Amino acid sequence: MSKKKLDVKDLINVGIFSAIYYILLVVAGFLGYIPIFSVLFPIVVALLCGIPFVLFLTKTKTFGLITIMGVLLGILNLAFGAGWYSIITGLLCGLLADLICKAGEYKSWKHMVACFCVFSEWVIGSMLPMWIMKDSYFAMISDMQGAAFAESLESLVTGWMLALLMVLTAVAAIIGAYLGKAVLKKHFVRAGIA
Amino acid sequence: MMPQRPPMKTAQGMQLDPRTKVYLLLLINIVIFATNPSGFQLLAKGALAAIPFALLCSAGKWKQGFIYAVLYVAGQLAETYLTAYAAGLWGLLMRFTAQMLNRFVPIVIMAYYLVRTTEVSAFIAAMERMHVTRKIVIPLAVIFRFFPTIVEESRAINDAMRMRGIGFRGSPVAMLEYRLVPLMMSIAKIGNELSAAALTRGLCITGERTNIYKVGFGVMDAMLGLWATAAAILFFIL
Repeated sequence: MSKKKLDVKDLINVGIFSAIYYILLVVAGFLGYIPIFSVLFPIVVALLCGIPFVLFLTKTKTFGLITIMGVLLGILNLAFGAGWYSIITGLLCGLLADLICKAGEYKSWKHMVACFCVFSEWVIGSMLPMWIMKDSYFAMISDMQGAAFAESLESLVTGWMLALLMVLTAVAAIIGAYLGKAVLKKHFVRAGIA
Repeated sequence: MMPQRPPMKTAQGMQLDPRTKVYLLLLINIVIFATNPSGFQLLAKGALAAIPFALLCSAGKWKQGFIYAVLYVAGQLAETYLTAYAAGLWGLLMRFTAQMLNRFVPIVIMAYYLVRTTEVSAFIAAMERMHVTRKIVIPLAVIFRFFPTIVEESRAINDAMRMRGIGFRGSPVAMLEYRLVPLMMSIAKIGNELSAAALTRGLCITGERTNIYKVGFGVMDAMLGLWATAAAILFFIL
């Protein structure tokens, strides 16, 4: 049953779940202290955020909400200093994810998993400067963090690494979604929240 | 429902327009993350980093203000003078910490000031004045309202779980479950109450709404805005 119009309650829900999502993302961000983890960051986010996202999807029946969530997360990323690329990826991934969910009429589980897979890719937007502006980015990192760190990071940043990262993120998103579903079944359905 | 903490008091005449605060946050963001500053650029960056300090002091948060200033200066000095000599793992950790101090702290303080001194209604009024669509404004206002709540709730849950002896030493999945599930339960409940409250206040009315908060630019807005813009322009010219 998909409703046609967005109402205020939907918008408030988007806000709440974006806030939870973003807080988990910040928690995952602290892992960036370890060099390898700053590249694996989207995977950790996908794993962690499955639970709130699946709960969010059970409350979503209208087209547009997932897109709004993507844009909001992008805005938050901009406000907390992770660059403006993630607004674009947030919009794109959100819109795609929204279309997938719409195809499943917002109740098919398979579509929801696919939707979360696509949605999770938006996080890579905050890392895109590494690929797009490779030279200047690593010159800056080398200045900021020292040559050793820059080299250990640069050796990881290649074209196939980006593809691999996207695939791994999608896999992590599937695991995250099933984790979310298990938690949902165990706790939220029983408590009458989902 | 969790009582909303009263907003931070600002001094008379220091009431900034929410739009100014957002603008300041953005400028600080762009400049601090732009490049690796050197020479005079450091001064321009410092001039921007001084804004959160001045704002904290004007709100009577002297202690926090000075802690922030000390952290920022220490981070900047460490980055400029010490990191060149540091090597290996310690150097890496030190660079990261210095980075955190002089890059993230100003932004976090500015964001904190923005959230704590802005009434949600005032924020909505200002955004509507800028003709931002309500589909973005309302969720954004909710996020504002929710960050402090989530932090407070998770702190309470943390205490409860520690009392039960559920800590980092158990399995990570159990830890995730025991923290996240109660947190989301309470947040979902607070959210429902919040939407009921919002409906009562007529947030769902389409068309123009009146607002008790007068938003508008004042002398302080102009001064801070000009100061920040000048610093940002200098930063990119120098």
